[in-house]
Amino acid sequence: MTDIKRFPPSHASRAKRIQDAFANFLNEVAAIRNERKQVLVGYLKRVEDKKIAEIKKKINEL
Amino acid sequence: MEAPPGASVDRETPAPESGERAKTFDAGDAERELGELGKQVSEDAKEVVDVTSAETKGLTKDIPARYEEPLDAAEAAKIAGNDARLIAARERMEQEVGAALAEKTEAPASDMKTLDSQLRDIDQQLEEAHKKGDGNKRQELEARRAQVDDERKKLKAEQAAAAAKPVEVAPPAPEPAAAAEAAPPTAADKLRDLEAQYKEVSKSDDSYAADKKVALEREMEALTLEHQAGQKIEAEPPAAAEAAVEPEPQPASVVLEGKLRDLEAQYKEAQAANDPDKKAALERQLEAVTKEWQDTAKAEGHVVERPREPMLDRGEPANDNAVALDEGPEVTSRDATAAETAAVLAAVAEEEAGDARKEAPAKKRARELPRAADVIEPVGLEAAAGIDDEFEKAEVEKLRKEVKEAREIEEAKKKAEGNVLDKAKRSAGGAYDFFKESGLKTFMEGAAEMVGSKPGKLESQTLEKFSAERKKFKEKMKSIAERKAGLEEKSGELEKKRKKLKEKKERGEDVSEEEAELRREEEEIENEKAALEAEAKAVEAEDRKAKLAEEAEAATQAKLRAEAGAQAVLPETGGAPSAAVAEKSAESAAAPAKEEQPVAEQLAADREAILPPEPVTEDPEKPEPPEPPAAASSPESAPPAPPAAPTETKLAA
Repeated sequence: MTDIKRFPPSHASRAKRIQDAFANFLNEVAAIRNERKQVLVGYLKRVEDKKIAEIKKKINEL
Repeated sequence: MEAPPGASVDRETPAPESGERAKTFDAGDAERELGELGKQVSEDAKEVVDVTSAETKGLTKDIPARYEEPLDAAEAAKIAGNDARLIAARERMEQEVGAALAEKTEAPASDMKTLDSQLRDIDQQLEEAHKKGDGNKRQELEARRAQVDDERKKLKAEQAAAAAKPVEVAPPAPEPAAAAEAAPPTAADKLRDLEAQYKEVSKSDDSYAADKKVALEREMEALTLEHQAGQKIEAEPPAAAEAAVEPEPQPASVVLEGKLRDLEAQYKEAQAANDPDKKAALERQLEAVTKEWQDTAKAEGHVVERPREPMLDRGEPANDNAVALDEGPEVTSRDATAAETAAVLAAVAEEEAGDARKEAPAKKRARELPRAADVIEPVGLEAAAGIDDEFEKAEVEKLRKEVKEAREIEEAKKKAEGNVLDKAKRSAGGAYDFFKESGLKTFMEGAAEMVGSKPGKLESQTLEKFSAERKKFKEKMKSIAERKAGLEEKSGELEKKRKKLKEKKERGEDVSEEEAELRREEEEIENEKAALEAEAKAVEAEDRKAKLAEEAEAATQAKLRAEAGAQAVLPETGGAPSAAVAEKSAESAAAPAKEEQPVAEQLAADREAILPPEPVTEDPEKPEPPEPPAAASSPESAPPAPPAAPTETKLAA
């Protein structure tokens, strides 16, 4: 990323604005990924629990 | 903080060397660099969106397909909103970047250096024009100089102003989270907003618009689903832009409804307390509020199908239009939905406000990012889900291990069950096949012959056949073992030969031909050994099959004997059923065929026990005939008295 200090004052604020916009965007993406992670962890737990229960049931039926 | 995938790493401008101040850009460079920066972040953002969308697709389609378990409504709703949020975030970023870049047009066209240079040029030209006495040129140049000088002054003022204010000028674009903190949007607001976005996007027909339309559809659907699943709202799923948005609840009528309920509760209390004054006061209030409620509801566009009148305790029977107090105010289905929606939306707003508060620290962290771009992560299952925490990875791994173990147990059980079934099948099927192959009647075919006829004939034949077959197999096995021993002997000889060849070789003699011969012989022996092994296995299999058939036959015969028992066999022979015999038959039926005890012997023993005793001779020491079975002693279940045994007849005579 470009070093803002190298910009003259008239341009530095604009460069900062662009960088902030991108930082905010990345932050939003990180938040989405974090939520998705929680969903997947919950989903996997649910699936595994269900499968284990099915297997245990089958084992008991044998 | 975890960097989203797709963010680049290698586009950073090299840091200035230590001890040397980096050269600042001039205005032209700065504009160019800003353009580059805008382009770079746009590309990075696009990459991030693409990668993240692909991961989302993996989570919504690939992973459920892999585990054969669909996401539930809540999970799907959470994931469905991701793409729309991503696109919205990217759009906000693009708008902000675009606005920052657009400032270029408003900025002074030239910088101080350029203006200074222009002034110097004009001064020089003025001097020349003065020397030449060119008045027109001079006037023109003076006007131009004044203009440039103005520009210079203006720029100087701007620079002074820019230097005076801090660098952090542009606050980041307000995020939905921040907006939610201030005034949380209701679900209806959100839906309306999404619908407006959808309509806007529908105007364009490029691929970006198509993607966004899909994302918006998902988000609208997710929002509706979330309410339907979690809050039981009667709302139509907005599958497209035309999707109906649930009207926002009317606060005034809702407030009045609450007031009515409160008054009704009070009225009920007064009624219970038998307080006529309070009741009368409450009646008046109830009537007034009911009227107000009806008017408000009508004014708000609700269809009040019948007048709402509280059923007051006037000793009159309830009329059709009356509403029982304990049932609360009677409202139309539309009103009920609106009231319910109000409560739900309030909960949603509260939840969103909570989420917004939760997101605030993340926003803060984002501002503290050292740089926007970061590393691209490998995309795996965990990465796709953003699982970067070692503990969570370990948890998932643990679950997988548990499933694996459970599957192994299941497999083992299945295998064991399969073995048992297989064995049973082999016993039954093998016996049947064996009967067929050996040209004998199956047991069932011969059962009729067995039952009621003198036992032993077919049994003996069948079992003898089994024995003969098994004997053949044993002989075959013996022959194979002998041949194998012969081959082993030959192998030993070849080994000796090889040692001798080695000695010769060490002495420097040429043994290549002998060695080749030896190798051929060794190969032949190995081949023969392999053939013998295969033959042995085949014979063993046949033997096993015959053995199982023999066992099955013996077991079935014993069972049939137990069933037919003394009734089928003994009456013909005229012998009384023996308790010992019946017991023995039952035992032989229940007990599995014993490998150690030849079946033929067992049958012979059974037969001896079943067969009637030989006619009595003059031997005085002949034992008494056996007692009838215990079961026959019962008068209800006792079979008809058997005819007198020959022994008895003889003795009687």
